[in-house]
Amino acid sequence: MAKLDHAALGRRAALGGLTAAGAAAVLLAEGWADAAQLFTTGIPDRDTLNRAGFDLRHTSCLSCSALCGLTALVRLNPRPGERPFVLFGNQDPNHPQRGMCGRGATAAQTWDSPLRLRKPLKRIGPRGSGRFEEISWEQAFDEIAERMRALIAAHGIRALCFTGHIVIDMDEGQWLPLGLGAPNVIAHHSTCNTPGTVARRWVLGAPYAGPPTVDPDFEHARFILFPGRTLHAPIGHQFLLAKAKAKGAKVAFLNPAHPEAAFANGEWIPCRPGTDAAFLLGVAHVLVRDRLYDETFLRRHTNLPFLLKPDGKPLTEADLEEGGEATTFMVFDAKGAALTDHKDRAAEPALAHESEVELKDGTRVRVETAWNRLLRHLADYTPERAAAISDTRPEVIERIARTLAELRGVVDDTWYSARNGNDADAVLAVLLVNGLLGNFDRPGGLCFRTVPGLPPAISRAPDGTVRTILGGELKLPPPGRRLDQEMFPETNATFEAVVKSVVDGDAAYAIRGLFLIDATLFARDPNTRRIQEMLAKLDLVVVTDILHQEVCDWADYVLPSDWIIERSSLHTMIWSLAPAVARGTAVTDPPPGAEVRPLSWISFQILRRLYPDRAAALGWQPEFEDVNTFKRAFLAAIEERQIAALAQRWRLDPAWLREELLRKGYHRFGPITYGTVPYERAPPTPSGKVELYAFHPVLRGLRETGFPRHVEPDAYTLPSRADEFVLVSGKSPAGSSAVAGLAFSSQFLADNAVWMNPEDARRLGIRDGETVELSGLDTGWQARTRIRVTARVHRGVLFAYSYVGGHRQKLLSRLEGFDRLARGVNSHWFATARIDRTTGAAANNASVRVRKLA
Amino acid sequence: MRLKPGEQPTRRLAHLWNEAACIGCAACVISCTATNNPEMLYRADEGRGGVASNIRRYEGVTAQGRPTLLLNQCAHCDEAPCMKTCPFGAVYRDENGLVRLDSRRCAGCRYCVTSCPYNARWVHPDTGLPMKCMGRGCLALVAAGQKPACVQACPANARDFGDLNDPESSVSRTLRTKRHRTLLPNSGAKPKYFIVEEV
Repeated sequence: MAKLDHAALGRRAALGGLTAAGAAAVLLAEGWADAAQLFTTGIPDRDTLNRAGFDLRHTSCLSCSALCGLTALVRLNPRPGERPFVLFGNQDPNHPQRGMCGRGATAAQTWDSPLRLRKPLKRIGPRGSGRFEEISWEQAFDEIAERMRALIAAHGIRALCFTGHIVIDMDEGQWLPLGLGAPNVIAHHSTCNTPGTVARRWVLGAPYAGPPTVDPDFEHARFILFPGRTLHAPIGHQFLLAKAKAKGAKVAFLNPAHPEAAFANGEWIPCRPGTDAAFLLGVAHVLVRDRLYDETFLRRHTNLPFLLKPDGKPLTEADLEEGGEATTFMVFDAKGAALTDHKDRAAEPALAHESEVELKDGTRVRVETAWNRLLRHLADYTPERAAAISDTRPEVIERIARTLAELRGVVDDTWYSARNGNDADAVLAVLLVNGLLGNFDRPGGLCFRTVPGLPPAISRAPDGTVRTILGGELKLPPPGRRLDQEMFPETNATFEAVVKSVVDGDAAYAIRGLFLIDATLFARDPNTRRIQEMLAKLDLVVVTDILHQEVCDWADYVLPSDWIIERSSLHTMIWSLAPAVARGTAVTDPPPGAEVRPLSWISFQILRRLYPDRAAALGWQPEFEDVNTFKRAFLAAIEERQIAALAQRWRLDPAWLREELLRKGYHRFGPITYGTVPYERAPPTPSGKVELYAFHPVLRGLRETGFPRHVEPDAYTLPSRADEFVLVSGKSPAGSSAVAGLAFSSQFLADNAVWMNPEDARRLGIRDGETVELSGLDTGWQARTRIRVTARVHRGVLFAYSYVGGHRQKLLSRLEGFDRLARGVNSHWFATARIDRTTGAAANNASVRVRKLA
Repeated sequence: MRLKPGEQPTRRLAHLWNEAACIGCAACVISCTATNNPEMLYRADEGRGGVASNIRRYEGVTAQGRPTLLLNQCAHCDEAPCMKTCPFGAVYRDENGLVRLDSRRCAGCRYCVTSCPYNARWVHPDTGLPMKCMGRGCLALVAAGQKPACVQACPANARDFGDLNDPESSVSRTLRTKRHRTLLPNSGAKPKYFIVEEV
């Protein structure tokens, strides 16, 4: 068993003076204090700080994907064994996304973790064995390129898939797939934000589909209901919410498990999994029944006045006359008492209307406004029925509805919400309630992000041409449609399509090679057995990561990449409603012995071996073989150009902007703007309105109704016996992320037991701390785990934190002190990978049977 | 600096934790270790079975069934039992009102560990010293006029630290205006770790 490098010190040694470990702590602390003293006067003079042997460097946190603002105090010349940096949340109270949660606080552990990947690895045992040999970068690049060349020659570039989490969406993750002209860049979204992204696209239009594009205005909120979301990420929002709470704002969490954020004076509304839509439709019922809605907003800015035919499709000009436009929708003008088209600015569209119209073929049909149909639709969701479905109480639904109306509150539109496979309806219901409240783009309401306009380093045009910000241009044919979007046209990414193509052969073609860029596949994707089967069948598996994740054991090659605190970074502050960018300075070098490299350099090294001409077209030069030259001459030039572009857009002096970014770590180009969408700028939906009745899925035949409805989850078998439960997963702010989940402290601070409600425990005779066996009702996967009996989980539900339990990489058994990471369960062992055909969303939750062990 | 018998501290520095603002993220717990005991980043406090931090996290439930959270730590009590029980005079109060340990006098008997009504101390596995708030890192920070690590780490403004003798300090203002309590107020220890109950 490998021993960690601890100073073996005894009490006697300490009595005689400072221990080595203690001395290191004191040196760090004293040094930090010296520098901190300089910092107390405000922003320190960097020269003074540097003369004292310190530097203050801002960076961003990638312990999850939220990129909150961190600040490091750096010792410029650390002594051997001395920690070179201390990290805190960026202390600037005006920072739009400042802060550090328990995950960010593990950064000091992650940097030189025993699980840190330090050299390229080549597999020497069967896939899954975790047996590797260290090889040189040259050998790794040569061999990977050779195998890719053969694979592309035999099956085409489309047989390669690139997957990742946040990094693949950032500049550094784009060089290789774009340089190769690969169509299949398929991220993690289906188990995260796909339901929300699809629902927002339907209701608000494509520019407002992504999770950060629309968000509550946390700082000015008066009441926020969080269905499913914990707000453990981005933690920067908690700082804004704390400001709102200090002014009296209230929060409530609708969730089967009690989130940590609810400790902070929040109301927890426990519910049955997969029933958020029912609860919210109950809220909508009350808002409509008690006339607590904003009628003006509904008439002017939503499509509820639009007329619908009996089949649920909108009545259009094309229905009424030859040559009529199918995109011109009909409303009833209350002023003129006649039908008119929705673009008629003089009209006063009636919210309530029903009549008979003659279509162009002479048939007569009854039409009604979407509002009329909504009234009938909501009649099915009385608070009593909604409460019965969601296992809540009718009076809670009534109270939440009234609070939302009286305080002009807002319902959070979710971030990661793929839990039960039916979550798109929940987000449609979120948007419906917000629409009824009319609280869009107003202080404290649901607001729209203004982007700062940071140009990407590399991008691909629809014709396939790849361009770089430094003027590089590569003519390639259009890459074609992604495999997952062939199967699930509405999705933003469904990785299960790749699994199907490999395991089931159930696709237009099969993926043969997989590049995993910071993608913890086992903690990310459902149905572990299928994932294993896929990994075993692929011709080539390459992983780039910072830590030895479980999926590394299945890779042919593992390439160690650098971490964000070891490199410069410039990125949009993605969760800021105000236009802002963050710039990170490299806080530290990689830990001793770590031959890690930037992902962009890794990408170029592979690309130049396969297609030297393409690499050159994108800017590669022979002197970039030296990675430091590459950083100085190439990556720095990209950043310079990006800052110049930002300065030009916002009419700032580039030198000033650069200095500002260095000094503060971020720049906000302007305030949050209110009152724009949908008031001054029409949402890019088919109707140009907020489509509370979603036209797109109805017109495409994807759904029978444009309104949200409750449907029972079909991603897993519903429990039917006393010992059967829905196993729900969720995030711990102390450990639930791919990075922090492997931190030493997460073993203790992010509980890896499975939670059970005391009522259920009593019924089954299970005591706190007892070990039970879980069996997946659908997958048959069996696992033993410790049960924590707690009132923090709803009856009939089991809960496990995601990312913090059930790690199975073989390396763990060889490391002292990390054995607890293997305890607990990974909910994806039990999840089915059944995909919602309409949206492409997967489900993280599953159902299991509990067996008490003798 | 150790106070002489009968001498009063010039400052009465105190920690404040707002349970109504805390989101339970544990950033303070981990930052405490990273700042004060970085050598323990990959080692557990086996005695208590958790992270080697001066802050401990407890969960409970109210009589009404509402889940509750408690972060506990050394309260730098005005009548600290650990000072009274230490046979060697190793535990002392300094000029800031903080309860400190003179490691040169400590024989490792652990009477202080046992006598603490708040179970705030843990034992360093290498040195055998009883550890607690404040650690060396935070003491140095405070000496430099900074807030301790846990306060700087908190993303929800749930922590504060300051001088109770200064009526204008942020902690004094908070305690004047917000409902608060201490743990075991009848223990006789006169703790200075305040739990604020409203935002």
